[in-house]
Amino acid sequence: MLSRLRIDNAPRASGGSAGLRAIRRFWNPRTALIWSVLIVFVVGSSIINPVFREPRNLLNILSQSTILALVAIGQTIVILTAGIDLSVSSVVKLSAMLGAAVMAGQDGMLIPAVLVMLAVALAVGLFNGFLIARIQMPAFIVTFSTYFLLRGLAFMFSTSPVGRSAPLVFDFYSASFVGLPAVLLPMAAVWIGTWFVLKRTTYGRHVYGVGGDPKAAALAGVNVKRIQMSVYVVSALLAGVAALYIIGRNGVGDPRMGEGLELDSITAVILGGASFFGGRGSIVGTLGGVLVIIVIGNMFNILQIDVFYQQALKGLILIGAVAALRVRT
Amino acid sequence: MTVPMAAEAESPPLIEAQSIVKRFGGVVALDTVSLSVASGEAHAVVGENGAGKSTLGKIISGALSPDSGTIVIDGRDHAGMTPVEAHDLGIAMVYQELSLVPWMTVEENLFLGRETRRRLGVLDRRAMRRRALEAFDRLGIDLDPTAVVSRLSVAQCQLAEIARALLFEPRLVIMDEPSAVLGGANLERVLAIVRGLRDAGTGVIYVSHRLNEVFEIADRVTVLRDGHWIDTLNVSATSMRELVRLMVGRDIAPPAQRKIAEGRAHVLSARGVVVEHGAPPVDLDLYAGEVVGVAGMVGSGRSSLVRTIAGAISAASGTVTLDGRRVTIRKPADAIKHGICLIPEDRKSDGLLQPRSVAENISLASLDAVSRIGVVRSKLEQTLVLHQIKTVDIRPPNPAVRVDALSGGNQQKVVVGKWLARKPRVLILDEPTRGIDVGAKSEIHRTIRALAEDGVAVLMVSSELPEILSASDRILVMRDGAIVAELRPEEASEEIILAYAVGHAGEEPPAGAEEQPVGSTSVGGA
Repeated sequence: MLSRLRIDNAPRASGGSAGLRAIRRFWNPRTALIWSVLIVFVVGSSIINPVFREPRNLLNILSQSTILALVAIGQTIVILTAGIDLSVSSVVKLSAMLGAAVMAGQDGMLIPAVLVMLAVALAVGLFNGFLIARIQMPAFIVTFSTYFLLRGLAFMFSTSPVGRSAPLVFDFYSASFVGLPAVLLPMAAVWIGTWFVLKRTTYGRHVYGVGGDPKAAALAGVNVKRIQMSVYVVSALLAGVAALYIIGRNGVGDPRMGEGLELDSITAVILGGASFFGGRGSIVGTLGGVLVIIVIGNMFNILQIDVFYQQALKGLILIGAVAALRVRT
Repeated sequence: MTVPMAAEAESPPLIEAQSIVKRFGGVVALDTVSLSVASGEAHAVVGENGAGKSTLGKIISGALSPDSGTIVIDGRDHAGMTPVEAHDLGIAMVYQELSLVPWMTVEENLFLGRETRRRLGVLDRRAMRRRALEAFDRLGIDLDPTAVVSRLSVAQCQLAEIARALLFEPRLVIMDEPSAVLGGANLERVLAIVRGLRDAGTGVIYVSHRLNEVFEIADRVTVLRDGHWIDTLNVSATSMRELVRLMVGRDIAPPAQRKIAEGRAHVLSARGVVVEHGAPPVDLDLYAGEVVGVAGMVGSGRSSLVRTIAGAISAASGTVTLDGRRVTIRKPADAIKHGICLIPEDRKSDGLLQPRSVAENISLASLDAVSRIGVVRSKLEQTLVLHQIKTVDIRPPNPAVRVDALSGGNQQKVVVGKWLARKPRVLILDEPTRGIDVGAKSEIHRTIRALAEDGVAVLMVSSELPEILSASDRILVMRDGAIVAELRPEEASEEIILAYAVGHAGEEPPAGAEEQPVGSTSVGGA
């Protein structure tokens, strides 16, 4: 415990005006890094190609980011407890296929479809959480296994696109609200809600505590197992919501959907300044990480550069960002 | 067993732990131990490391659950309660191994698991801030509630830990070695807090091995040894000597007179070693068969000097000669190759693989000696391990026990055994007996002496002046990265060493101290 304590280092004065402190709360150095990177990319891309800065494209970037953002928010909470959830892409895949199959293009079947999707997500989350928190299996192994398990089930269910989106879902995905893509609204609600829960509630404190030092948290009376269990449920449920977005975007349930979401979401969380060992990180940082990933993809599409370059750049940025955080702390 | 009650304790005791038994794997940590504490009583628990003091505290605080026995509070048995239940019963504990979450603020840590909340689990941050500041005020602790714990000093963390335990004004506080990392004003503060609690009617269980604190604040004292209850005494009716005898189970013999052979071999010489920027170069000579004690305040460069020689810090400049040959030491592996072994200050993180067995830890640094073409020969390993367990007297003498199940003193013996197995030419010990009490301490001192007699050159850093004085053949005092004095133990005293260490010695050396270099060693920075 406290093995990284710095000795003989007095606490920094926490002075400054209220406004300054408010800024500092959002703008801690770990979060600031990724937002600076984002600004550099956005400004750079705008200069390289004017198409990028067209409002239509910028809004497009925001709506493209919603699916990854939802999954990454869940991933943030998991990683804050020093866990990891590799199963998210398979949860998205399977529940999107089942959802589209149940909807079968009818609005009347929307509610049963959503219930089926959330039930699948809930079951997976409880399964992961039970094995990790109660049986004390390593999160990497458990969620890696469920990743394969659900992926296999999805392809057993169908190797080609199934079902059809309910018109409501499909229309909602392309609708706009006071000039903004409507899809942003639920996403923003989830985002602000999670921020509030993490920063202002007992649950949030306990998540940070469990990740920071599970033994200390347990001694303080935190129910560590329940917190660990809950984060996998939250992560899976948010993946279920992301699946609904995917149905809206694609119009069908396609087994090829959701690929790479697990790695992209982890990338976004780590880019956002979270510690892979738990206890440190923020939802503000994760959002920055999500936007950086989407902006890179968008820019490479506009410039029609091969996707492999995009992957290589993502790797470089991830290493660079984590190295920068190491050097400055 | 008859347990004398405190004079004022006619009312039923606040808490009564009866016949507590606790095993860790095969190790019996507590064997039918009983303890009772009355309201307003400060009850000290003393014993050697491994005696079971911390385990007893953790069982009463609900952090551990006993294998058998009862804990009676308010007439009901609460054995096996959780920390939350203990908190609700008004029991709080200050843990020895600091239990704060490093990335959270002081305030977040104070309220972790017991947050003041409004509806739906929303935090009432204003109420918490008010309560934290009130507690700091009440306890006379000067801490910033918004400071992040990882940026605090160890002493500040300890104060935060104490504040957390006392935040909700418990009926019973268990303090496990609260003074281990404190000194000076902070230590006084803690003792004053304990007196204040006692006077306000709170029960205090004070685990310590600093006996003078026991005499300063405790009403009664319970002595544990090897997991057994030995005695419970009124402090006013006992003496330091009696407590030590009960703790160790024998009288501690005064250290034997040492004789240093004339014409001893010159083992190591370091020339012009700069331990930190701006510090003068330091020269150091070590001879076979002698123990050199290095004294100085924290930050004087003592640890940096020995860590440099052991390769744990790379030297900015300077040369090291071993047995007359110039050697290059850039990393610990270089030093080990040349027979220079360092027993680090922090045994938990630097000295041991906590979740591995005693055997694996001991053989780790000697695997080349017990393996053939990279394959570990278990027979050879076993022989080596058993021999070391015997040499340093690890209890229990079981090579398969996980190191984290051992007491601090026995863990330290494992570290010592690990390096002894390499038969070092130069053995460097940084605070070899920190957090270890009388018995284990004297065993480690005996091991050090035996090594020196076998011709090993020993360099020992210690903050404890009595240890420096009793265990060293030669004493170096450091200040600001320089060796400012070199003394023979018979011409030194705690006052003289301290005077050099804090720089009060000035030009006029205190009476009895010679500033002349002893032996052939030059004194750097004089």
